[in-house]
Amino acid sequence: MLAMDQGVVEEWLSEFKTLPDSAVSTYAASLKDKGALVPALYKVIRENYSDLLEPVCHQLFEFYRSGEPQLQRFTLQFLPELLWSLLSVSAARDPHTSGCIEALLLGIYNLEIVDKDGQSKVLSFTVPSLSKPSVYHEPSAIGSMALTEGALANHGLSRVVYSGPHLQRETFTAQNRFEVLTFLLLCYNAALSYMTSTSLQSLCQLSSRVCICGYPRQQMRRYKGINARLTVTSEFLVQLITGIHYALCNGEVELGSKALDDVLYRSQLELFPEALLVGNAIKSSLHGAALKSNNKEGARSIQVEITPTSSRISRNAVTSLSIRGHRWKRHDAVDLGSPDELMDISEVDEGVWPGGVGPDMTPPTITISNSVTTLNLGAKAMKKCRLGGRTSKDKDKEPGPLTTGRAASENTELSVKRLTLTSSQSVPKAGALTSLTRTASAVFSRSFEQVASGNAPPASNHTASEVGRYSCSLQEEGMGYLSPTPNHTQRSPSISVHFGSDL
Amino acid sequence: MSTFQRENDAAKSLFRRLESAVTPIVSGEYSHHHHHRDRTAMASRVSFTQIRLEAEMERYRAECQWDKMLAVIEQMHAARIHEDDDYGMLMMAESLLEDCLQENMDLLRRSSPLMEKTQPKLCRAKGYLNTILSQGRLAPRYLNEALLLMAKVHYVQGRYRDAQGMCARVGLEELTLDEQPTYHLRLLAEAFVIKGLSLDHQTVSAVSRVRLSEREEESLSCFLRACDAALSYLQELDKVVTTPHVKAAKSSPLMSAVDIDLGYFLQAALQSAYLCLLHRGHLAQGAHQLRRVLRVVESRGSQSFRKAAARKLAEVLLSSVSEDSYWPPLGPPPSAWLHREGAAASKDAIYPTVKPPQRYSTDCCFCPQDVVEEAVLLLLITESMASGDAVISRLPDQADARQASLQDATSVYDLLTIGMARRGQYAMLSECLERAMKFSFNEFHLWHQLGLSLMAARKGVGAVSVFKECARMRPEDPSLPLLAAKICISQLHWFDEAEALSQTVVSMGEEAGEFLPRAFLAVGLCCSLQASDASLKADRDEFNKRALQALKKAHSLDPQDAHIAMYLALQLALIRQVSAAMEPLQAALSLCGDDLQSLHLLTLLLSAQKHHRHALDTLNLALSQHPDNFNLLFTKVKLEEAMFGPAAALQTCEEMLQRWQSRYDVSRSSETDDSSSIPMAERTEVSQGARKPSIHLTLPDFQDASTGSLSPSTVAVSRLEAALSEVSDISSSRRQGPTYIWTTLEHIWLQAGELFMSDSRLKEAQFCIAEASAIFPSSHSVLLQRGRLAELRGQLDEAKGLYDEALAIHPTGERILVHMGRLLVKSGRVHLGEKVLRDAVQVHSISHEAWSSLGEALQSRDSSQAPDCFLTALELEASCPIRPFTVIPREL
Repeated sequence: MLAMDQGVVEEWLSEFKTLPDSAVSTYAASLKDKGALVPALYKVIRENYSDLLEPVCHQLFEFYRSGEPQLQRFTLQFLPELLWSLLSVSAARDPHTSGCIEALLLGIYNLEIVDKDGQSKVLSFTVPSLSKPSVYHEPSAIGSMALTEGALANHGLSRVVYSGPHLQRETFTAQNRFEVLTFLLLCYNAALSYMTSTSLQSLCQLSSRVCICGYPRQQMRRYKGINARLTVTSEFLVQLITGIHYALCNGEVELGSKALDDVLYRSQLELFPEALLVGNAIKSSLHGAALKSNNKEGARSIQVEITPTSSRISRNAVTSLSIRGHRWKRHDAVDLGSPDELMDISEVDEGVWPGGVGPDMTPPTITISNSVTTLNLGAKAMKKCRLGGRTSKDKDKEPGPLTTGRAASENTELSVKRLTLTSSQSVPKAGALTSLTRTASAVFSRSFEQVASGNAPPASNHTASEVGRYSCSLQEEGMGYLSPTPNHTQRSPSISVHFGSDL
Repeated sequence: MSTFQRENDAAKSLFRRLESAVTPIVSGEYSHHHHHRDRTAMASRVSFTQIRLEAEMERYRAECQWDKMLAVIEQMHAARIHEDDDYGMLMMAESLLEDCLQENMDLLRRSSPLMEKTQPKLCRAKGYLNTILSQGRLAPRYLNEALLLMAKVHYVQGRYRDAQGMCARVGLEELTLDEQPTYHLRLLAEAFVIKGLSLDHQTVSAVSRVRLSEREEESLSCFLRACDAALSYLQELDKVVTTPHVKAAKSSPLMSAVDIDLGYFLQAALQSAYLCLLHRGHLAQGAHQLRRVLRVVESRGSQSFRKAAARKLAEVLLSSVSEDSYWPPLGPPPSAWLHREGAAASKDAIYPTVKPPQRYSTDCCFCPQDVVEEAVLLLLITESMASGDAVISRLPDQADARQASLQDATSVYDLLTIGMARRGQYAMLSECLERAMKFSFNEFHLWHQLGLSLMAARKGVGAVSVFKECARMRPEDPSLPLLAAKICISQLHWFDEAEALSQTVVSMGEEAGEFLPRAFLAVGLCCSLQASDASLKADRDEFNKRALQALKKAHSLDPQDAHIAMYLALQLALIRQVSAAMEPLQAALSLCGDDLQSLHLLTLLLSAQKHHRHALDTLNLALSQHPDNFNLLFTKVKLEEAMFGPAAALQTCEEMLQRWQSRYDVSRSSETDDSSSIPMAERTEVSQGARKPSIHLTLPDFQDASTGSLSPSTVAVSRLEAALSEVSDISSSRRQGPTYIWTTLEHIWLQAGELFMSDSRLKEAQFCIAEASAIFPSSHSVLLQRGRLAELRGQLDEAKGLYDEALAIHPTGERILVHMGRLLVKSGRVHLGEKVLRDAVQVHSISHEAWSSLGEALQSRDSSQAPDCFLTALELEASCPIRPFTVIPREL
């Protein structure tokens, strides 16, 4: 590390300590003018054995704890680099050097999982539904197509938790490591729009390395760092891919697509459906668009050209909608009972399977679904089946009682055409404990007490020693700063326990 | 006379029809005709024919039905209308020009100029327009239109400066007056967009930077106005066209004719504003413009445009707007965004529109609060349109249309996937992708995505059949059968199926690349699991042999894989080659030192070697890395019982209950009641009443698979139990959450009950077992423990009844058979007991308890075989772990 870099970092370390509270926001705004600082900090994090690592981590935590968004983002920009440092060191079984990085990451995690009042934060979102009017649509205009499928109706504006509540963590264990890291990436991804390109590049590198180290692909990428395989989880990879997606669309085309390929490679080997799903979708959506025009000038913009809005579908082509349209017309025809109208409809119907049923032709195939349930039926047979028993006029109504002709015929059609993809597994609902077990456990514990008083078992002291193992210099600051809010009661982050415990 | 009569009737009926809805047009016509009449002094000769034909002409011009204009021109000519001015010529010019533009859409899109030489229609149109403009024999209104058409001609010929000049001569205020015919709104939009595009094309030649940015500003303002005018035009068109024809549309093809094909300039008018903003890198303003556009009430003509715009906005949101930088749809972009993009304020504040289109109401409706919410909403709207437009027929001549519509839909589903996966909504995603199946025949990408989404949503059966279909489409891809095999093994317990799937990858050999060792692993796991299920010794041995072979092969192919090494060790342990298992296990641990299953296996192996102290140390190490793992804790209980007696083990049981509560019980954390002060008798009653469902939020689809397979017992048994419990337990509806949570709790109570029994504290034991049976009343483990308790209390008949019930549910349960056999022997029915124990030995040939119990039975009737049984039992006991090796889950 150059002396100049060291000087820059040391100056940065000292100046924040003397800063009055009122000057914090102007200081935060001025940080981006210090051009040499960020590269110097990256160097400190990359060099695991630097003396500056501990104070730097401490300072980054202070920034995060300040609550000033710009300072928090300053810290967050180093997150990919910090994660890589942590993961590579733990893969190399060298725990003592990553202690302060662990403490910094756990500190950020423990701050982020609680809200201002010290309550566990639960991230949720509303699943939109087409059956409810929105600022962009009117349910009546959507047409019955999407709505009568029933699928959307089931999802009428329900609120869904996608992260949280999370437990406070005092140490990293094999069990919680990826839970914590995944959550940290979620926080990073939420701030992606504010991240510098250096940070995005660092994220892409992290993704590539985590996924290929120890696998044959590592040679292909010519990365010579550690060569141990790192454990990953599907959720962690999904978060990485979200970041890579942003990088790809905002100027980091080369590194981003490499990283995406590497993550997909690993997800395939691990047979992770979630990561594969998103990765494939991103790859497919970029296939035509961003990758085609790879000019750097388009950073933070989207390549556009005037394209036709409608792919001129020829009028006689059968579409999913027109098939339904045909069916409806036919129903009206039955209502009117006019032979002419019926004739019209049958012509329309012939249009659906124009192959006819001539002897020299293969029978028309309804290739709507798939080969598993491909249905071979002549147009006439099909027509007959559809026309049968239709009497009611409620063409716009939802298929109410299954006994009406249309619903019944449609039902049979659907059941034949669609794959029956019902799951054997019922969707789990949220868990709840009955107070029976709660009180019962109290009884139980009392009987335990009797047991315990008589014969004390040898207590395993691993938890105590564990706490000490990952301690770091953040403790030196004492405990004054450790409560995020003055009015927290019993749900205060247990970070104080950790940092203060073996003073 | 007759002709006149008929014509008059037709005109009257037409007039009646138009009267209500087309008032602006008709009144416009009247005012125009008054003017016209005065000038031409033909007041007495204004016929209905003229009104009718001109109204018809206006409608065709509004609906962009260029070819039909020609017929009207013919009729006018025949009826000698507009003989003395250039009206017909103007119509002719427009019809020809628009026809020509329609034919050359591709050239226009690429901005390549149209040549007069190759475009006779363009040439003729230009000739007409030149004549009209030089003769000046038209009312100002029509001359204005001619100027605009001329601007269009200049533009498509690539003479942008001329086009701009022509636009400057057009009196736009003429087009913005009230009571205008509908097609004037179209012309207005086109005028703005031609001006904007012309300016845009000239920017390259501008030298000064200030001049350049001025130009950019001006062209953008043109685009914004063009867009609003175009949207208003489409809304007006809807009103004009739909109202009078509701009845007629049903029987005539009019309805479909109304699905207008928007010309190049209309499309450009609609899109240019946001495309231009996005292209210049003004993401926030581009998104803002897209939102403004999408909030405009949909009209028939705007559908496909809305589809494209909604997808574009979703794309912008998902690719470039993160959660923290999101701003809600109804507000202006935050100043930080605008500042970054170099704009002081959003554009719509600066350029008020001429005639704002109608927008959706903002009250009492869903307004997204989150970037993914908005993107998903937009994509659902798009999907409802895209999936409807998808071409199903597979005629060769429709292949292009089919491909285009498929790509259209695919891009929507891809974006939907990106959005929903960020929120873990795999179940809903799989439903959406399922809808895509009706037009995705043989389309690998969508099938693959459907399979993955079903797998992520834990819809195993569907996922397997979809992956099989994918594998049929791409037989060279080894990941597809393995994905299906993974579900079969971990979720469905279809081991035959899984083995067949993995064998297809094995048979690919080298072609399978890095998947080959994993395929061998899958085969090995299937065989190993089948061996554990097999009831005949010969089958079991065969499966075990094949499992070992496959796992050894996998290990030799990829010695760096910690999982494979661990499963090899596990297989060796299962066949009681305890010391041989140590070697691959060491390899596994050196590759991944904190792996849960490896550490657990090491614990069990050490316990099998009777190194209990080392086993406990290892277990504590494992627990330090995986403190919440109940499977490890159960092993700890057993070890502690063996080493320190039941009392010490009960301490761990208590700890487990507390862990269970803190981990799964959300309701408790919000309460601070200390219920220990309530007397025990009351407590059960109170708690019965106080049971309540505590969580109202739906859990996301990500699941904790690692704790999912606690029980090694066969699936059939657990399904039967679940079904029985559902029937008998009235409170089952209150029990929410995944089953494994409740199975875990049941096991903790039963474990505690067992410990109390071995500590001879039957009252406590009964309490624990009652707790367990409150969760799963018909569980075979509960029935077994109830039987044991009854047996300890000397109620042998009751005990036998309970064992019988347990056996009815789980006929091959090792411990049930052993206890049943022993009970029978004890109660004097030695022969029957012996039979039961022989069954036990048959099915569980490595159970030393079964062998020693059989020995006792035989001894009691002085059989000479008894010593052999005891010897076997002793031998087996020497390599028996503290808990069966099968407690380690075998998953791909």
